[in-house]
Amino acid sequence: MNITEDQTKYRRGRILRILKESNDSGASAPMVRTLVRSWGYKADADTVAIDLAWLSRHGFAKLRQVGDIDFATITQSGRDIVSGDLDVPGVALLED
Amino acid sequence: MDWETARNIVTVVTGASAVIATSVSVAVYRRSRTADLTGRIESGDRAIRKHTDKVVSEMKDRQERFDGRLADIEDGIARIEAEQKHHLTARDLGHIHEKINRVAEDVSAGRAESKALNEQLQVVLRHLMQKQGG
Repeated sequence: MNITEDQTKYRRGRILRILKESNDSGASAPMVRTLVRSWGYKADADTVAIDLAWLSRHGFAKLRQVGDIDFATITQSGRDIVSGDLDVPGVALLED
Repeated sequence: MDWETARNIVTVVTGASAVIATSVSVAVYRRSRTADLTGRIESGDRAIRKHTDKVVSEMKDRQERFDGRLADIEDGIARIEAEQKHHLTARDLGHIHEKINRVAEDVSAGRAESKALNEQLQVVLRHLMQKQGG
């Protein structure tokens, strides 16, 4: 596994943390992308969309479309990951 | 001259004397009354003038006192204004606040950058450790 692939799980962990900090409406995909990039990850729009879709498919986030924009909100499972109560392969958290 | 004639003459003289006495009394009364009124008016005028002079004099004194106090206040204001020149004004503080805001923004940006660097260093470190371990 190269570092780019290894980075994916940390990026997903960071996305979950961002969603947890968002309000009840969640965060739009462009907003998530901007914040993920501010944390030093290389993330194009497709990468963020794939990450959000992965998190949604595994029940850690909920996606909905408003107009043409994807909005994501964190689920209880996602919150458990962020709080450290749940460990799942494919998502990893780093120390803040 | 008989008694009747003498009595008539006395009556006439008495009447004329009475008329003359009355006229003189009236004339004296009129003259004294006029003089008395003039004197009273002049006395009143003098009193009014005296009172007016007194009030004007008091007003002048008060005005002079006020002028003196006003001059003192003006001096005080001038001193305060002169001292105020060396104090910081709202405009000066505005510039300082703007600079502080810019510094705060820079600090915030630097903090975010260092957090991002820390995160990426952790990613690299864990990747290397995993590689060495595996």
